[in-house]
Amino acid sequence: MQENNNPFTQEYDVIIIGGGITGAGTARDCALRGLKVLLVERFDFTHGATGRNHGLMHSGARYAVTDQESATECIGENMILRQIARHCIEETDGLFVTLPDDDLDYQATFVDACLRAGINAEIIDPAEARVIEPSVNPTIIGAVRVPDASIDPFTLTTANLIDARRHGALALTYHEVIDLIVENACVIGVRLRNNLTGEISEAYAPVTVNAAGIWGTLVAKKAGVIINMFPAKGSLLIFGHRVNNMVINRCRKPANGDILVPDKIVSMLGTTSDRVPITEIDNMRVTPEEVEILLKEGVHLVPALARTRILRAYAGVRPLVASDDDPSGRSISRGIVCLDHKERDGMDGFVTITGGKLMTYRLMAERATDLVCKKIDKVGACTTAILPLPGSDEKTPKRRGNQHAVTMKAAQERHGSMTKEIKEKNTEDKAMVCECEHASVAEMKYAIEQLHVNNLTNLRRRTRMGMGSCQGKLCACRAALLLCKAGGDAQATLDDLASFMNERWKGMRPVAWGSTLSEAQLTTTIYEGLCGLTLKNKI
Amino acid sequence: MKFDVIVIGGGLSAIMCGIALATNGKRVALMVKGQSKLNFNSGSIDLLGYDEQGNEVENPLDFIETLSPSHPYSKMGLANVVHNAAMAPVILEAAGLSFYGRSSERNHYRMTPMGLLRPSWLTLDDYVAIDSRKALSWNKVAVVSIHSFLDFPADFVASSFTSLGAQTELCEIKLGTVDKLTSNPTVMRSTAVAKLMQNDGVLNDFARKIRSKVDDADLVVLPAVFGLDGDDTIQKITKQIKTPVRFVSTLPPCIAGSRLLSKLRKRFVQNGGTFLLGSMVKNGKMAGDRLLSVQAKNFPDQDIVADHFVLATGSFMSGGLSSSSAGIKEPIFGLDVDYSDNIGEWSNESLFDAQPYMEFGVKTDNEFHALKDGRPIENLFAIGSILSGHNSLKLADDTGVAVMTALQVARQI
Repeated sequence: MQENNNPFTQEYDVIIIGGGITGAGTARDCALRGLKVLLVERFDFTHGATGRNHGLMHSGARYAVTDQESATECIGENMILRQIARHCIEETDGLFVTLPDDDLDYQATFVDACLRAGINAEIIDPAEARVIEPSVNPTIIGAVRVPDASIDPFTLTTANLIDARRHGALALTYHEVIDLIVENACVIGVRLRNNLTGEISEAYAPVTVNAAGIWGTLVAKKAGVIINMFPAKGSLLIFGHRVNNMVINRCRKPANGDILVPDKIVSMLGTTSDRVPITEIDNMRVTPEEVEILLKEGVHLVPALARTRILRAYAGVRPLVASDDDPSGRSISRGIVCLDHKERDGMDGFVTITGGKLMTYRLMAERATDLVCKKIDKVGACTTAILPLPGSDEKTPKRRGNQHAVTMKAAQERHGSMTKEIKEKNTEDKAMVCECEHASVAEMKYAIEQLHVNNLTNLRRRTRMGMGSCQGKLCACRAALLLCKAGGDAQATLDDLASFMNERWKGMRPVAWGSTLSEAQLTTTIYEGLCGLTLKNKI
Repeated sequence: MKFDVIVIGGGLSAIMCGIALATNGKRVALMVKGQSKLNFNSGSIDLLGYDEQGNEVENPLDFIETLSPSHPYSKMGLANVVHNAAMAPVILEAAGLSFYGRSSERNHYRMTPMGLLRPSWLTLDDYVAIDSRKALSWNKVAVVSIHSFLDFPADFVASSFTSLGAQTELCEIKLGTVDKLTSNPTVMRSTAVAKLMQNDGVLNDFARKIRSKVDDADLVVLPAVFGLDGDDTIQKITKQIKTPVRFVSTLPPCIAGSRLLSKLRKRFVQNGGTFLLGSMVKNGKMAGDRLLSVQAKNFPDQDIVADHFVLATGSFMSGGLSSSSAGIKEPIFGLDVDYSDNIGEWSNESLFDAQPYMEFGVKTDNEFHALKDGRPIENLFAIGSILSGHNSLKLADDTGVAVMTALQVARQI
């Protein structure tokens, strides 16, 4: 989508590197405070850890015992997000359950720590827990109710970007920073490569914010700045339908596979935590051992998982930072890390915001923006904690008589009040593209026109097309047709379709047995057998 | 219940085997569980589209002897493949199915719903079939799409004709009653449109709109939403559009496949065959190396007895094979299955690479007797997609193996 024909001749106050939730949140905050913002993302929004996490809106309870500071931050942000991002959140509440093998004494420690952090943790009768969450293991001996919830990181990022744009920010996807331009020990701009066209360009601003998550360590290196990061891989499993209504956690010290989060029509089980080399962060694979660990633990939480089809497995990388006085990485913080590289490394015009969690992205953005404002002598108060995001800022429009109830309801869950932008102009617009996620042609068109969509994967992240139980079996072909009609080249669109399906397969492969294998065979029978698709197509 | 032959399965291999046996006077019953993979068939039967190196094959019979020994064609041998390949079109024709390619030993291309070309052996003669990428039989082609029907990606089909050298126009027709369909929140599928076309008013309106939009094309390409129940709508639409008409399959469910299935079923019944529909076969009773009877969910406490049994239950997607993280099984009889113990070797990283699991299947001897505990069961044969030893997607031989093994086993019985 074109917002400005000459983005590189403009002057900016700040350049933000990274199109994950941190970058998007920072772009919004900066733009709201009147700064002229350029955000650059090397692939697609939410391509990194933002698109590969649990979708869990922590109450903070998970950290209460081990990390009071994180817990306090979480519950504070939890309460704010319920106000400003309600269309991205499903207020499910959560349970921390104690199983017969667990130490019930831990529950008292846990509740006490929660209350100290300001988290409303309420011990309930296990019998009551079984009633409010029928999927939970019936043998539980203890249960605590906490204000956990389910949050959609894709729509949350989109909403932040839309608001940043409304306030003058420019966001460019597929623009990779290949160099930081340094003059007199000051970062004055970035050199960019358009990853779709290969074109090289430059943009300048007095401050550049490194919000590239785990990739931030590589970005900083371009200015000669060393940030000691420890990539921690977290693997998750998605189940084929929604098994639980509430978030279910294990009431014990955080360990593998002890959280099950409901996410619209599916359930997500996670996570593992393993250190991986920085060289592997672009190439995460879930191993059979990780699948086994997750399943073994998950079945303790919710026995029905043993009989539920696993849709796919995926892994993200947490951007953990070693504290500066401990380069060995023994004391790793999960807290927010905001670095002024002038003070730390003598490199002016450069700020890194990293560490933290999806939950605390707004606070991270606030700290980064405070620092940016300080560096360029701009006075402005942060308003992101009170101003609702687009989608949550107006009453959700009522469905008009001729609109489909099912597709409009699904669209409202994804776009909140922004559904007013989804226009059904003719009968084709009403047709359903994705039957699992109930996404209509009109919604696809809205995303293609307004939400930075270049390919099917972009479209999936904006509309959830292909994320449901069929994993793109027919909807991907239909969406490919829409992209082709919107001006795409037929051959390139078919290649895109093939790589989209290949990417879906990557997540299915670690769990390719049972019905998942049968589904995979059906998928290739349709795509390769019936449709004749290959990775490189010749039409 | 007693029959000469029980065939377990209802797909292409089961029914071809059933027809061949019934024609020879056998009392045959087909025990059918549910849907067939033919719903994903675009109206073609492929004998062998590619060799084992992935090169397109011009004359399939020339390449039979290059295939690995595990391939079902290698098991039956070239002479039998040649014999069965001559027999198949005769049986299909007798069922009222007329194919392009029946008089030739050469492959042609079928056009897929995404406009791509795949080598094929027989293609329903009212579907697009192309002899060569270089010489198209048509100069001006009109590709018709139906407004708001997303399962026929006409833009790709049109692009394909353009790159094959035709002057191509894309023409979108709005059906008068399409609003009625889209007012239902479920998606508009090929079968729904095909049912609409059974209404003369809709079909006549559709044909009239095409006539008024297309004047000088020498081919009109239509989405395959005709011929759901019999050939009635096909005859009407081809008669009303004065220009020659060819179909290209839609995304599934494919009307072509259900047309194949329903004609073959009819033929089977005409020849005296019996359908036991809704039959979920659970297990069998053995005596030594012989299968005496099978038991099914819908016939509780009954032994269904036969002299011979044919297993045509398909691969994973059809339920003929079942897998878990512990291994792969043939769920009815616990037959020997060819597969790797290492689950990491079941699949490949790229979806479009050859997937090893595609070659997993039931072990047989060269006469397709199924093996159990290393010994052939003397009156149980396995045919079609349940067989191990070949990758039907990479070789484009899925329907060919179904038909060839069906006819081979029928002859042996």
